Amino acid sequence: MEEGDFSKQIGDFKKILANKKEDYGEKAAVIHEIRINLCEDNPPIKPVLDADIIPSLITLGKATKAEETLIEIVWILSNLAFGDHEAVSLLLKKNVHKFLIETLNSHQTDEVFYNVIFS
Amino acid sequence: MAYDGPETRDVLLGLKTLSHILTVFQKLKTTLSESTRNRLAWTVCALHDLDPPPEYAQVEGAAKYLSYSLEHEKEPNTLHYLLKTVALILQTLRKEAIAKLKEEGVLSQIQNNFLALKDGNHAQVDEYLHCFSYFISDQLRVQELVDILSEDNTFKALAKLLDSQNPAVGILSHVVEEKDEGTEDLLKYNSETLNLLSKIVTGESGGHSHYQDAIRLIGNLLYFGNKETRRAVLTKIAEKSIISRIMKSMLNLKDPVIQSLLRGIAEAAKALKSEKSVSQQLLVIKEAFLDSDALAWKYLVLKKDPKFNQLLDVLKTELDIKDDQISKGSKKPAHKRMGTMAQVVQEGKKFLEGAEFDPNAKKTRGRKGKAEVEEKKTAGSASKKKGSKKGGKGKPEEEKKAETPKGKAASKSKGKKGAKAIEEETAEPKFRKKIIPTTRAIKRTKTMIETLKQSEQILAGFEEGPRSGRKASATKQQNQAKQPQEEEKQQPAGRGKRGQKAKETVEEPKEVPESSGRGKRKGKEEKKEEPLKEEPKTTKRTKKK
Repeated sequence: MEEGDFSKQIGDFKKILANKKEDYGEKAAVIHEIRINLCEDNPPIKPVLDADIIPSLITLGKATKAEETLIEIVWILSNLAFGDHEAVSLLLKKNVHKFLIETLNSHQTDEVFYNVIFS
Repeated sequence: MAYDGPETRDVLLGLKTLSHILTVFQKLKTTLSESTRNRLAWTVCALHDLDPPPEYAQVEGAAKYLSYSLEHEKEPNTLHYLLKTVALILQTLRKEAIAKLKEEGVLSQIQNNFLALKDGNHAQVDEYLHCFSYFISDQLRVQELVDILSEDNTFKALAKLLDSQNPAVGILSHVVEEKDEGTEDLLKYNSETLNLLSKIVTGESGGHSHYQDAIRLIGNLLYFGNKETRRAVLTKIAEKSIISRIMKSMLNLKDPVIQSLLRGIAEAAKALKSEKSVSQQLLVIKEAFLDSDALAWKYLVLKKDPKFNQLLDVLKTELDIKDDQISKGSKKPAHKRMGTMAQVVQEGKKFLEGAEFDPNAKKTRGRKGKAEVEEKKTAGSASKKKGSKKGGKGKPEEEKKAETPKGKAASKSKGKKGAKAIEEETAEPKFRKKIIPTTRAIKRTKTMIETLKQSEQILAGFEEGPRSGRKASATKQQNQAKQPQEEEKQQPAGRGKRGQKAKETVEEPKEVPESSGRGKRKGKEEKKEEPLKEEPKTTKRTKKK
């Protein structure tokens, strides 16, 4: 997918993630889609950061009972941490690190552990 | 995040990130996958890395983790991060940190792992040697660490590595200072020690990075060794190729290295002075000090270091060096002598002044050509015929001025001997007085040119030392070249879509900007060792396709 297309798409994703009435299944699909896009050779880190979806990701991460979704959220956040200094500063500002430590304490599995320490 | 910069790292540590991670590790340690263990080792390392180092209280808990992991871990890349973390802790020179490492058994575990390594496992040996290089240095002498290295088995294993692993030279050069009978053991455990050291000094082996270590070890073997050791080392370094190279590189050696060397030579000379078997060697060493206008000696005096001065005084006594020998330098012919640039220029000026050198005359010299040479010849023969004892007294001033360049022109066209013959034949006594210094000036100028060339060669030789910018940049380039391979190796397996295992890809590592605070640790490490390996910031995980 072209970065331009994703930039347009991320606006819709943000709406879905922010909508409290939206069901978890839809949100999980969005999370998965974002993750897929971040797997590309030139991951669209900036569009994701610019879209300001981090608070929604953290809220969903705290609320979800599906470990797969939680892992995908942590995965996205850890990949965003591989951005530049600005990206890392933004993550700290949004308290991503605190969310990660909470997740580490609440979900003590190999896979969560791996993804949390990755970031 | 931790590699973003020391501030970010400290924010993370301030939230007790490390202790949270290690708590979870304690619960999961027996079931963690290899990739998670590898990632954890990297994370702990990242939380210790970057300057300034983190507060000790925030990373104190890592010692227990390191001890456990070093004992159980077999994966080389994970071990690399564990050893790197230990090196980073030692680099802080904090005594409480070192005590904690000992208390948790980290140090003894590293020793055990090292001794258990199989012969030929060079990559692993390298990792341990790199870590050991932080156990002992000029800045760090702690008994707990020295004990590990000077323990018989470890020392023996290190001594055996001298043939194949040059980094061992640096470690052993320090350890022999601490170990009782260390020097004898070193030669006993590895009979090739002296040959290896001479190869490093002459540049046949080890590159330039271990040069200073080799000199230091030579100095320490001379100082701490028994008579037999000293005799063997003295005989080895008295080989012309070795001692002259050492002297030439004196300007570029670190002060502690120079001190070790001088101390060693002085002590060995003192002990063996009465022995005829090494009298010739001591003479060669003495000559080497005085060679090249005693440049090395003068350089050491210029340092105005009381320790050096004291050692030089001892050397003077033991090698029977007189003050005038130092000021005069060697008795070599002028064209083979060497001095500093300033000396050469000063001497050149002095001689040119003495020769009443006229630069304008020089300019016109070439134009006057053959006719004047002929004229001079005629004038010369005429004056000879006159046989005036008072020489050129009655000569007009213009003629005098013109004759000097003429003489030079003649010397140019007829060569040195021819010119001299002409001058002697043609010049009147007083004129001869002037012309001889002029000829000397020409010779002197030629000597200066030769000296400058030789100095240039010497300076080229000095590149090998630590102060050379070229070396530093070369090392950096080498490391940059190494990095992609290392980083590729270092990436652990990632996670794929929905928890499936995915293949991880590594992008070409980008140069981490200094301004962002990422990058290598600075300080002590930069002086001699290669920089610690670093995790790329550009790593990303990709989905399985």
